[in-house]
Amino acid sequence: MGKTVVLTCGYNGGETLLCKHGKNLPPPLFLAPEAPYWASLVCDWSFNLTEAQITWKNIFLTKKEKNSPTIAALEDVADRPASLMAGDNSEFDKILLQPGVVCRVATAGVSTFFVTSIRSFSDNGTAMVRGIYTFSGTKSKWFHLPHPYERLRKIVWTIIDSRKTSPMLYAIDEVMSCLKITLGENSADCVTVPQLADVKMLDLVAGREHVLFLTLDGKIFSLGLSSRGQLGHGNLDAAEVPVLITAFDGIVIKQVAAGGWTSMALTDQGLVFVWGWNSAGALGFPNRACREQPGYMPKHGADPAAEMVELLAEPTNLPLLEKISSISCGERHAGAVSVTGKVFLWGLNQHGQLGLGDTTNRDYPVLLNTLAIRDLHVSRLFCGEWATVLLLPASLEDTNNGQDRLESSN
Amino acid sequence: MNDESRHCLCIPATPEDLPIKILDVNIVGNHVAGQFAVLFQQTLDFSTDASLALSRAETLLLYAWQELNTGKWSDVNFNWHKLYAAVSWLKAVATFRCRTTGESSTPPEVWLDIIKICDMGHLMGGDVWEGILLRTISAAEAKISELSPAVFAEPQRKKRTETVTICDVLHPIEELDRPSLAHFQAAFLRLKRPLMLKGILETWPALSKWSPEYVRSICGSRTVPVELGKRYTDEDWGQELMTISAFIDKYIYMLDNPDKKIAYLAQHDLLSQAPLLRDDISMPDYIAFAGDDDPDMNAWFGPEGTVSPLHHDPKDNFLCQVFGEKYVRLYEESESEKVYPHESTMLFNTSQVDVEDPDLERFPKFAEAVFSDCILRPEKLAG
Repeated sequence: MGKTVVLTCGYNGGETLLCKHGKNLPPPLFLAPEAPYWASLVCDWSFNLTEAQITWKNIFLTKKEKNSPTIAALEDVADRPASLMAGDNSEFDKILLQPGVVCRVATAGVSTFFVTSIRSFSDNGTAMVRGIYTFSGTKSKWFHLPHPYERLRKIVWTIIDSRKTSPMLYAIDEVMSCLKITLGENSADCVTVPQLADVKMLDLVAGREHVLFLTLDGKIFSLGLSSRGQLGHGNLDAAEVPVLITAFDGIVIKQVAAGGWTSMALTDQGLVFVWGWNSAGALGFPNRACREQPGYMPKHGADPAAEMVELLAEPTNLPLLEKISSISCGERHAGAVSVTGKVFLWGLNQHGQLGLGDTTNRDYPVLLNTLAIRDLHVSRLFCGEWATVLLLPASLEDTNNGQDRLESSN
Repeated sequence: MNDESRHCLCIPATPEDLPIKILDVNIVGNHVAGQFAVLFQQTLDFSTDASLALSRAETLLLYAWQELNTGKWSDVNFNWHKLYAAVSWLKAVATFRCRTTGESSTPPEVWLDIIKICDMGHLMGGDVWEGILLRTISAAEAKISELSPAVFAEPQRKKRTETVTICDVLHPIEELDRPSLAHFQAAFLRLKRPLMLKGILETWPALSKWSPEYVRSICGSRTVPVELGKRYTDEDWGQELMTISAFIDKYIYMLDNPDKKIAYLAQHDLLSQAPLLRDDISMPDYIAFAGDDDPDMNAWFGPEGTVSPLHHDPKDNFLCQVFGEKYVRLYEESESEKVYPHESTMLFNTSQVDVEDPDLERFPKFAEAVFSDCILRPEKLAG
């Protein structure tokens, strides 16, 4: 498949935020180029990325001082898509390193880590799931998935539902139906979601208070809280079941992403729509608090009388200079990659997650144009809570894709 | 750091006196608990780099802030409030260490920033370690007075030479001078009838002391949430944080406010934030008698022309007017349908009708709605 270059910036787990330049800014870092191809990568706020050792088959990211693996060891999956998220609970380490067990993990909120332990991947991209393992602080529990739901394509969860603080879990099963999962005493109860009984699901994504459902024919449904309009129905009312976002009638959506309190959609024409909370400029629209930051530089040619946007309850087009091929949302920042491999980022930048060399939030999309990234063609972008990861496929002629240039610019 | 600064920041003689295990690891998780422990150590160990502690504090505040903004505020686990409050105090100490060089005297601006940081902690998180945030604020305020004694303007009480009527009173609420508790209970509380009580606030020092300048002298440097815009039902309504001093200048005195924009310090627990103000009032017996020995206490402070839209509250109210005048109109519960409450989940307790200028085409029944009203002036208590 060829080598992949991975660039990252943002929060690195709190151990050291000082970079070589002596300022309190992590510049875009550089990982070893020998990663197998990554279909998707999402990282959480404690994505520990200091000394990275990536080999063909096993991916370990180690903490500098502990020198123990802190995220999933994927064994024998070099030719399989893998979904990885990082956590740092020590119990979690033990599960992941059991031989023969491949794990897909995610954090939802803070206290509870949900892990779906995956036995193997099948040809059609589903995973054989052992069950859902939850652990929080000192407590842990296994929930087994009943037949025929041991094979899933994806699972998402968010902590808040509209009435009580219990997790909302939704999944896409082997045949692309949408499931709602309820955790019982020791087992998980799976039912097909009635509102989506007749549709095939392409993707599910979740924010802190809401879930977005993308169907195969390009429609989006949403449920959860709409405290900042993140459901996209034009009001702030919660929805307990998936409700179609009618604003997209006649438009085909090919990708969705969700931030903490934001939603984003990419159409088949390469247009980006955003809605939800514009705190810190997370939607890429003018934000008053952003403008009041010391050292804030307005967008070149920006209209000084532009209206400030606090939230958008309806999907709104975010104008970007180019046609977009993929999108991703972090907690309060977001990014888009164009069909020509250019990267645009906007939103919260407290930990340098926009890769611009400073920590000022941006309330408008900025083209990532630093020396490290100029002229490089980015294929995909993933936003973690407070970090951003860029994948650059190495070209056939230039096997290190400018690695020399990156090293000399540091 | 010298002893005087330590005392002002409320740092105990031995840091071990501050219990570090104030968070439930089952709620906040191992990583947050671990980061908090590191922050605590780094902040109070003066040999370490304070800027590292400061950035770690910012990160933990961000984390807690995210949790405080998820779901309903009332459902948020109290550990997140504790974390926010505790980290705010640690951030204040780390800020002091970063901004103070050697033995030279710390300028008042640093103490003002410390007050701001602690106020944010108190607003979002309450308090922790036996009220350390409010104690630190108190000490910082004293320090500022010492460094730059404020010149207090003579309290200016605008004495009206004539009574200016805000609005005509059409169906006066009954007035009684210090009724007996029994009569109050039987004739009003139990029957949910409104009453204007006279003579109750005569003993309040607030009545002679309170003025904008007095409030500024007590708590001018404190940060409060202010509502911008005339009514919370208006489209351009919003909330902003500012110091009380800034609020008084811009919205009470209308300085640097050419459009005469309206803002309201509304429904804010000012008396908990500034306990010295609390000393100027006392709880009327009628409130305890009504069955609540720990009532919510909120303050409303604003210029002429502020309006609270027609709404109902889940609890009974005792509204005390300390200075200025307020027109109050009350509708009984039986009139609910005629005042057209909003149907949305957010504003279900608020009427859609603009009482000052009702749209009778959209809301015809409003013309028949029965109400009682009054103008509250100091020395009357409407209950």
